[in-house]
Amino acid sequence: MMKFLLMMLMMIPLSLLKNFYWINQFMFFALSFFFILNMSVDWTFLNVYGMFGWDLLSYVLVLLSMWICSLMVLASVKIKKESFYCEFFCLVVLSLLIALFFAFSSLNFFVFYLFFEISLIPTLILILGWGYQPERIQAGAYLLFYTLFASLPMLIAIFYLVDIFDSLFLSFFDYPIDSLILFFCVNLVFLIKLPMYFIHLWLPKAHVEAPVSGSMILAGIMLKLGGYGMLRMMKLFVGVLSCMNYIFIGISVLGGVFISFLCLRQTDVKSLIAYSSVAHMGLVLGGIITFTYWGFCGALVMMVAHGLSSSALFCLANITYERVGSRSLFLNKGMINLMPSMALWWFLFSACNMAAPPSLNLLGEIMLINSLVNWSFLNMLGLAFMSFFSACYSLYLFSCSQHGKFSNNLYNFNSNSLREFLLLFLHWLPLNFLILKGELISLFI
Amino acid sequence: MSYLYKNLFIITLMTGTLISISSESWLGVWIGLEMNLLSIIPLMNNSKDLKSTEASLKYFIVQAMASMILLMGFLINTIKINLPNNLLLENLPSSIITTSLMIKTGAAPFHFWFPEVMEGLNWMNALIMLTWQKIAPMTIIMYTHSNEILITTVIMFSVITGGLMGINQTSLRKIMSYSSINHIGWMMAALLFTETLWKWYFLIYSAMNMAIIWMLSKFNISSIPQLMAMSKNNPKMKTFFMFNFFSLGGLPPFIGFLPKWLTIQVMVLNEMYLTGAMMIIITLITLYFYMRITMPLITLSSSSSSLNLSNQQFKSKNMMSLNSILLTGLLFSTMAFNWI
Repeated sequence: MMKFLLMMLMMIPLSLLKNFYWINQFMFFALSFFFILNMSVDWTFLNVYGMFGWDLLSYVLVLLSMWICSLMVLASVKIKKESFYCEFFCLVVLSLLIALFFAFSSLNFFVFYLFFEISLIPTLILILGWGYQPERIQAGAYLLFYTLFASLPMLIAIFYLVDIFDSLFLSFFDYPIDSLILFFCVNLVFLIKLPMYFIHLWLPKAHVEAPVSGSMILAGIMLKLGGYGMLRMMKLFVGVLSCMNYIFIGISVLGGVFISFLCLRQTDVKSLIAYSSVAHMGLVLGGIITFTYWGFCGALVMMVAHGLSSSALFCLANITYERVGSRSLFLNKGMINLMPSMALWWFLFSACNMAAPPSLNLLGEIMLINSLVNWSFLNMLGLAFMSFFSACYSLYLFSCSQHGKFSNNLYNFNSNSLREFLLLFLHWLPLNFLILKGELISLFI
Repeated sequence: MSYLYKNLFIITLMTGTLISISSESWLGVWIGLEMNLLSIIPLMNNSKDLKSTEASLKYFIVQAMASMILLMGFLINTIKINLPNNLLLENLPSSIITTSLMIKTGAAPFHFWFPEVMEGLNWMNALIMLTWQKIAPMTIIMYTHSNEILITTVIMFSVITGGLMGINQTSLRKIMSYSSINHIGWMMAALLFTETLWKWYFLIYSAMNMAIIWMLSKFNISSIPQLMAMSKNNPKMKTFFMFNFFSLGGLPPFIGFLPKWLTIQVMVLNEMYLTGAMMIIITLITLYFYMRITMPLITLSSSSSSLNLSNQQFKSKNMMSLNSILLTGLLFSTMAFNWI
């Protein structure tokens, strides 16, 4: 615990040095690799220090955040090339990583809340500071106020929980509290973060306006904070959810179908990917709400898989954005003519996004579909539509961007660099190889 | 031109406050408040600036009226209980006295003079107004044990007015005064329960105000567009400034979250859930207008401004260290509580 904390703290002065961008990059990757060596297994909290420690759930998500943060630095070389506050950028990414590290590994609910909130500010700075359009101000305000509006009632709920349990340690929340108000106070912010279908509006805005690093961290980790919080707090609300889980499962499955329809008529690449993550996270929410073993484990697998695949899709969108200067699917056509090798990556990640076989998304989707169908056979209808249309919009994304005639507006064009292939490969490798030993990252209870 | 007399009046200003918060009879309280009032008037006045004279006049009238109401309140009390040298209060006079002290602090239904007066002051006087002038009235409100409904009403009024009225302002003095009204609501909630809580809230609030106003007064900024001029040349100051406003809004990694956290905890333990929830959600509106202030700074855009007030690179070790201590204060205090 301490070694990683100290390593990250010592990286703060490193990030402020000029021309140390690649050294920072190296340290981020070194951190992730060191962290792999400290694997935690199943439900026991290992490496406990103070009020921090990891069971498998925390471990996997901390590892994911380290990995995504490393890849964020790798993806944002444009900031270094233009030297647009690039030291500050490193510092923001690092502080985001520290906040996420603490949020995922805290054993105390209040500390989790604290770092959950702290992670908001670096994200806000990332979106507002390095975003492209003036609309990013609105997007930032949406992000901040959607989250804060729901997270402040959670603060009150936390102190209420102290009163009941005399402690905020997550393991001590051992008997259910059947209060609907408390359920909403605690979980509304997680539902917003996740995001649940009706309260997802901040997400496409934030994604569209964010720079590539902002989109990656949002899709990769920030949404998982919601899922993580729900997985941790669910045992308090067994009673509440046993009488109203049908509402949430209905919203998540039907919402997933509607969002899939919505994806099919997006013209903005980033917006399409953002909406597709709403659909996937809807599935995660449904799995958590069913209260089944399959559902909980599948939620974790799906979160990891979605974190990697949608982050990779945002990278791809940015790679073409840097060349074409637009996110529109009408201008981003025919890329297979210009970047033939990149078309392979587009295909691989579209396939992952639709949960095609060798990907972790498949494992997650199988587990979640199992849990949801087990809950009610009626879900089969919604899930069938959702799976089918997720394939549809993934193929739509692939074929629209890669095939067809490329736009005549393109005046000059540079082909892909090795860095970009490495970036995508490092997304793809864990996504498609972790399924070979799926129990290692899924069975956390 | 000697400003030596200002030193004298600073001393009497402080003495007045100390007399009123430590006296044992209502007459002493009243005398202290009057001393305090009479010594801030010459501090505010500046012969070259008519606005400050106007402000001091307004301030004098309002405060004198409030003092009179206070005097009336404790005279009624004396007639009723026949013990002149005592802090005991009957129900009615207690409400009268509390109301008069609310006027003196500028809590919400009685706040109308406050932004007007602030508009005419220079930044250092504004700082005195926002911080030191709150000590005496609020401490005495703590002594009056007035009924909870009155205080809760004032809390809600203050929080809502502070939030809503600040939205469309461009003058930073007005914004600071509305934010102060909002914080007065929180401080009232704190002093409803424990004195220590109020002290913490007040100290941290004063420190945050000091950090912000120090910068504003150094760069001579009084409206939002002028902030661009500062941000252009001083990226570090800009970052600190931004974080200070987040801190004032009560976002977690900064010290401003600490008093809110403590207040909410005490409120929940005393079963004031609804008031606490309302306060905390309405305070988001203040956070929104703080965010509007910091927006030109946080977008990292460095477009030049026509208002080029300060060209020089500004560096002050004191200001930097004050800011860094303040902003990281929450982490250090949390660590101090948990690891030592």
